[in-house]
Amino acid sequence: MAVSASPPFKRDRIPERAGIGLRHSHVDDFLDGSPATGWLEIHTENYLGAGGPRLRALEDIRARYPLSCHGVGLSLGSAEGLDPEAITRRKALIDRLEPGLVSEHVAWSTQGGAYLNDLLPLPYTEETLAVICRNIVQFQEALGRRILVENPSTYVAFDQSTIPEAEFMAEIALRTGCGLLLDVNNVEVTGHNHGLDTARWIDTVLDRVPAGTVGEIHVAGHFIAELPEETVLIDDHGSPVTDAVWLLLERALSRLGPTPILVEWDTRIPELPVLMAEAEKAERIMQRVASRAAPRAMSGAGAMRHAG
Amino acid sequence: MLAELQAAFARTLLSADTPQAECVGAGEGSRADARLAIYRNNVIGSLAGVLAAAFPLTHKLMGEDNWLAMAADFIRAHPPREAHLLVYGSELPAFLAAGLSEGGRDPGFLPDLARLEWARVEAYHAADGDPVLPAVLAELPQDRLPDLKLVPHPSLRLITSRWPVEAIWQAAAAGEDVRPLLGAAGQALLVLRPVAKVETRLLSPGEFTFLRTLADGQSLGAAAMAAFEAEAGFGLQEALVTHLAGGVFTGFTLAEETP
Repeated sequence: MAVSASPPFKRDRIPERAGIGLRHSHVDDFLDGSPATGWLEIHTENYLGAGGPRLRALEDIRARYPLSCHGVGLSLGSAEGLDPEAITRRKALIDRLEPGLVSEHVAWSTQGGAYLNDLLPLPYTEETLAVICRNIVQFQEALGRRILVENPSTYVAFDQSTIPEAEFMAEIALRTGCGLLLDVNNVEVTGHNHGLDTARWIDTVLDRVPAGTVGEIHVAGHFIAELPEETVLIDDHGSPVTDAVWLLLERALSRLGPTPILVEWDTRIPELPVLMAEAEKAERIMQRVASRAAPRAMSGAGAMRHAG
Repeated sequence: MLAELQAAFARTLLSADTPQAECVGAGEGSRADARLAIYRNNVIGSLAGVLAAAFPLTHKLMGEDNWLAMAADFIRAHPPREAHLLVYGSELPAFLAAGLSEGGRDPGFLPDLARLEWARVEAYHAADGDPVLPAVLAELPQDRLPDLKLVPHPSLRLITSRWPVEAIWQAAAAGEDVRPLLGAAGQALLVLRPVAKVETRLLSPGEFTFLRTLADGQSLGAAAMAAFEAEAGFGLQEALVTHLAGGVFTGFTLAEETP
């Protein structure tokens, strides 16, 4: 049954500004007023119910803000393929909301029909590349639109991996025509956990993909876990963005030019003003990079970008 | 290769044993095992949190340690079957009842409290529906009313318990001691989300049977008969008008008269 008379949302592109993730604890702030944020991102899975107040509130907010649908559960990396029912449900919501961007993760969550609710790591091999590209193409064809895929935070690496992660990400975009969601916090987390050069990781991806491939950047905080034998960074989105991640944002923006940036904060969620302040900080960095770039001629793959 | 790796990885995450990174080709030794355990802790911890949010009062009354132990066992036995978690936990009340009944013990009121909490979750996410109002009754041929079938609102859930489960729910939600209530009579109730808010309404035994029979797709006549059997003093007219006005039904059918 329909949530309400079908509201004809027009697909508006996500502006090159900083947005924030819409979380349940802030929904009333958006229903009661219009907090100044460039755009909003939802976790698609939180809105796959049949009806109810949550969807009504989202439609009210959608009418007033550009929206991005960020999926966390489709399991693009599953060898068993995508669940047709999972695609159908997402397509219905996405067709209804007409978001400016649709994104998912380079990860897997479902095996043998069980959904494990985590973004699980993939071995980077030719086989995995073939699996994930097939699944991405299937999802893009079902939606009739391009999606962005996000680089993961990982804690383990597989012995069988043969392709460096940055090359793997670039290759996905080249083979499927999808865009990339560059999560610079995940670059920092994965880089620390596996001893990678994070700046080089970003350069490797951006050197390989055409202009306009990166449609969005994520920034977030992470947790520093002291395990018995080592320190591991965990991607918990539960604290302010770290200085190292701001620096990676600056590096990415200096190559890409203005790009939609999203501040993620999903655990220990603060009051809305704290989140808005993080987004303002991201915008200041984007402006600083843009003003620095302006005097010299724009060149290279990152100088231009198109809507995702 | 990838399929086998993912099957082994999923098995490790859902096992109660310490994860072995070597078994999934994710390195060797205690460092690798500790890293793999991050995923296991994420999976069990995040799903236990999802369940705690769906069953907040059952969680509160059980206490954190008991809840976590039960939730971890539940997750391993019943991992989510859908790639979203809005309605994850439907089997939990029965799982809890089975666990608490072990050795022939009385499981107590907690499984019924969990059933009520689950009904509220389902009602919250159910499809929307516009009510059929009592005025419709006047427009129908009165001699055909016994054949009338009513379509329940998608959010309607009916619960009966040998415990005063609604009163327990209210007391627990208010942070009050539930023990003084445990000697009281059982309750029947409906859970409904007419528009935005999930509501609970107490029902007499006749009303419960009446609504249960209608919600199962039987006719008004059959529902009335069943209700009178359950409760001699059942007030048919009053119950019908009350629940139509309360938004319990969103449609009706009146089969063509057989010649």
